[in-house]
Amino acid sequence: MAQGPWWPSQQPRHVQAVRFFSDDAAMHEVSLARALVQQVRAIAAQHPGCHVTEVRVSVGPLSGVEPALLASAAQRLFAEHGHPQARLVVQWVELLARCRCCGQQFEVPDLVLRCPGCGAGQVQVMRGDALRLETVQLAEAEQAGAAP
Amino acid sequence: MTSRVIVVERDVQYQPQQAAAEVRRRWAAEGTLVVNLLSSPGAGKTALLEATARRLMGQATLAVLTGDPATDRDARRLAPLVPVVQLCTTGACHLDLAMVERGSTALGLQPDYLFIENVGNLVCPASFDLGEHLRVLLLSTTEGDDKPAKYSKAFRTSHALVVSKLDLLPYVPFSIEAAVADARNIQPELDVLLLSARSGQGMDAWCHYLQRKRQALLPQMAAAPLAWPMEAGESAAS
Repeated sequence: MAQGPWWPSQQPRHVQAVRFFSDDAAMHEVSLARALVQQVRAIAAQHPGCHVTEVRVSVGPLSGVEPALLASAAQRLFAEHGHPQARLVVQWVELLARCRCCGQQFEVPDLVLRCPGCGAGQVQVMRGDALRLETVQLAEAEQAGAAP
Repeated sequence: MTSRVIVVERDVQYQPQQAAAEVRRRWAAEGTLVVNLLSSPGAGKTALLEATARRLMGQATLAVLTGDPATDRDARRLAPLVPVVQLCTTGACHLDLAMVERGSTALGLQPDYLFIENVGNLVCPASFDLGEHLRVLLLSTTEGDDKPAKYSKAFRTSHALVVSKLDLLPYVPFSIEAAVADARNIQPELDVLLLSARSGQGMDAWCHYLQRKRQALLPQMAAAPLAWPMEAGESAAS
């Protein structure tokens, strides 16, 4: 096989760097809050004349989300994007899993993701491993008219 | 004033996950196995990549995207061995799919293996699907065997656990059995490899593992966009 580098670069010591700034890169709760606010805005845009009053999300032990950090980031972003009345409600859920072998559903209080029925390790997490947008509550202003 | 409630009941990362699934399919179709390497700072990600590049030289083509909050030191270390692009996050704690896509465009290559060296952190990177086929978590013997229980999401979402710095095992209070038992409570299907990039112990097994995974995963993942490989269909189905 070839002795030298396989790639076409003539200067192997030249280092390419791509630098990301705060618009692209952020602490991960901020990234998740951005995704959340983006989805809520998309829903609000489908209901002209309404404003968002409450956003309910759920998180669990494997969501990788610290609720207070998420809430402060989301509140700030809601206000910045024209939904200052939006109140974020973060609901904590326990981990729920389903065995892929025997189909049993079970709560996982101790983070042991093994089926208590048949002992199989192939279990699917059904709840508690994501930041889930549950509901968005919208209020319709009376003067908004009857636009569909 | 009337109010209404819109029921969504969906992961907020649904759209990024769909995008990652498509990237995963595309990379598989192009013949590149993408490996996302996660660990604490200093667990030996760059050392493992250096040793891997030396072993596979002439047998396979490798490239690296390496994430760092501040410097390009890792890229400088790797540049004599492999084509590498540094992804500098300016302080941010993880890589995301958009950064990886920018990096791979800058790289402009279709290697057999593309390693993504994530930012050293066992918390945040666990939440981001980078379109990889294989997520490998590196745990060094000097970090302590209690990490799987503490950083459960990172272990849950990984396919393989690599215990690194095996050459230091005699000098540190680290129980491989305890670490593996905790990790497999969280992810019973976790593959486990033990190695030392420095002494070379376990490096052959690691390289064979990569080759096996490449053969097994690429045809499967080129066929259809897959949500998280181990949790296939999970978010999409619910």
